[in-house]
Amino acid sequence: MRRNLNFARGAGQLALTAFAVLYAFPLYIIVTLSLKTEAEGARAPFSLPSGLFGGNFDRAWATSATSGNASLAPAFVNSILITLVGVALLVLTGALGGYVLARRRSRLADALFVLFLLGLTVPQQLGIVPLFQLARSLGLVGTAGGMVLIYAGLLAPLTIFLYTTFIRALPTDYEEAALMDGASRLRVFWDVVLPLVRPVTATVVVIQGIHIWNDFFTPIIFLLGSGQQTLPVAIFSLVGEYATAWGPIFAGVVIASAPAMAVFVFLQRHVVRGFSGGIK
Amino acid sequence: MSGLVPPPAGIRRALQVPWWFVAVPLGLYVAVVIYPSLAGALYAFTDWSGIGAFRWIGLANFRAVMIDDEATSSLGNTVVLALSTTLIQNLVGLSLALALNRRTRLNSVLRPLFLAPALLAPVVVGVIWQYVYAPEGALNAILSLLHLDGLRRPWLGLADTAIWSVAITVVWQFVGITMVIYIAGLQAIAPELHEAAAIDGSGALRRFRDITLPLLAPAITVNVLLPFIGGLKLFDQILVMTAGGPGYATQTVALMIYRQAFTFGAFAYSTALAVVLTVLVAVAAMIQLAVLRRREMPA
Repeated sequence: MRRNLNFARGAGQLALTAFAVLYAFPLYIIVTLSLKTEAEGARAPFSLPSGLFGGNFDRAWATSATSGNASLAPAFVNSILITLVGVALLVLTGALGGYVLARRRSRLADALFVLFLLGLTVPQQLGIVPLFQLARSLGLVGTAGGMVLIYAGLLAPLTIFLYTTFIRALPTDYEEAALMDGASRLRVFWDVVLPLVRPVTATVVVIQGIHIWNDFFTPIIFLLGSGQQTLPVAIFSLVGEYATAWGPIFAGVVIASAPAMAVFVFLQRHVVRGFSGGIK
Repeated sequence: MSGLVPPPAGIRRALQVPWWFVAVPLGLYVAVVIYPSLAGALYAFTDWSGIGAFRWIGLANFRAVMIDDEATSSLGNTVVLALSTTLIQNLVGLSLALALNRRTRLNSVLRPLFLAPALLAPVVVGVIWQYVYAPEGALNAILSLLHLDGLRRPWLGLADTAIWSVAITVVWQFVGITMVIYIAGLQAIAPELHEAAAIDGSGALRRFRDITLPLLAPAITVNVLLPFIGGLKLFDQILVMTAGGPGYATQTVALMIYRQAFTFGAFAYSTALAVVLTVLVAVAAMIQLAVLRRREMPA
């Protein structure tokens, strides 16, 4: 009996490991192919690279004289800029807004909260054409600033939801004490509330940061062909340009994915909490 | 502290959080989501071409959707993809969660492995799998290594394999999220329940059915809702891998909306499609919440 159980468990572990290897195979392939010359990639696609060939990364990263568009270097800078500023704006406006909606006990506050929640289900496609026209009339199409403002509005629902529900559960004692000491509401928010909501801020930074970094639908509409494009759009252009020259394409994939993978490695707990937060 | 002696009502009111704190997120949200969505929904009933005046034409755009082969196959593909990815993702995700629930050294390596693709851009994942499925790609090379050359095919180039190839790509990317949510759900179940039932003589399968499954109901709700709604909006992977082809075999509603609006300039028609998509998402959300909420109650 016991031996049977051990055998079953061993077989299960073996099957699981086999599945994991199969699952990880595409990841292995992109990393190894990005480090191989085209000839080696064609000859031995699945083996470990014979050396660390950097030519693919050079091609993907640098602007070549013949092809202006597919260079990842400027796209990398744009992605970093838009993600950082976008997330900072979301945290600041989301925490401030959530603070009001959590502390004001009125019909208006409830109605605004519900209005924000509506945005969780409305597909972005519904308003995309009017939004494009609005952005164009304001001169915001093709600009990083426009993207940041769009994300601050687009991702407000989840951000406001997270901050509001978290602050509602916080006791008001600290805030009242600070107010009695003569601090303004803004100072109370900055000195008392913002430090207390740090767990939500971590979730917002990770989840919305990854969302903005990886988003494709918004930048392909608002940034395509502007020279301000972000990495997902640049990768898309790279595929168009190199067709089946997988070496440089996968070098681009590795470059575009490295920051998100670094976040995953260093902030794994926050990532897992962010993803599984839906049922807490 | 001050919590013991509440301040008088007048002072309390004066100390309320000022409304302007919510002005910036509300203003941006209204400008980016509410106003454009309402405008889009209205344009669906007009012949608006993007510039100048427009006329109200009632349901004409929606009638056009119903007799448009491209639109109906896009709708069909979208629903098929949403249903199939949700189903497979839950079956695989729950199996993984059950297998990886215990804290072992192997599991602490495997869990992040299965979650990692969820952090990649869907475009990037599309590119990776485009290579896997390419005529001279990884899958066909593996089939040749296994002497199964008869199974080689251009996976994304054939109508009957393309849509399933895309579905597998989507599941591969997001199954880790489903797994993580199920693991969180499993760990919220008190082990005493299982122990008590085991002492009463319940077998493992029975305990799974009578204890695990009912108590996982909140996790199931999320794990059905998120992938299904995500599946209805599939865009990035499709555009990269197949561009909707061959023919319209993998065209989704989201991709068709984008094309109609930004390639063909058929603005009014594209907003009609977007209204259909919105209704699909809203109905799916309401049905699933109602059904799954009811099931959560008795537990």
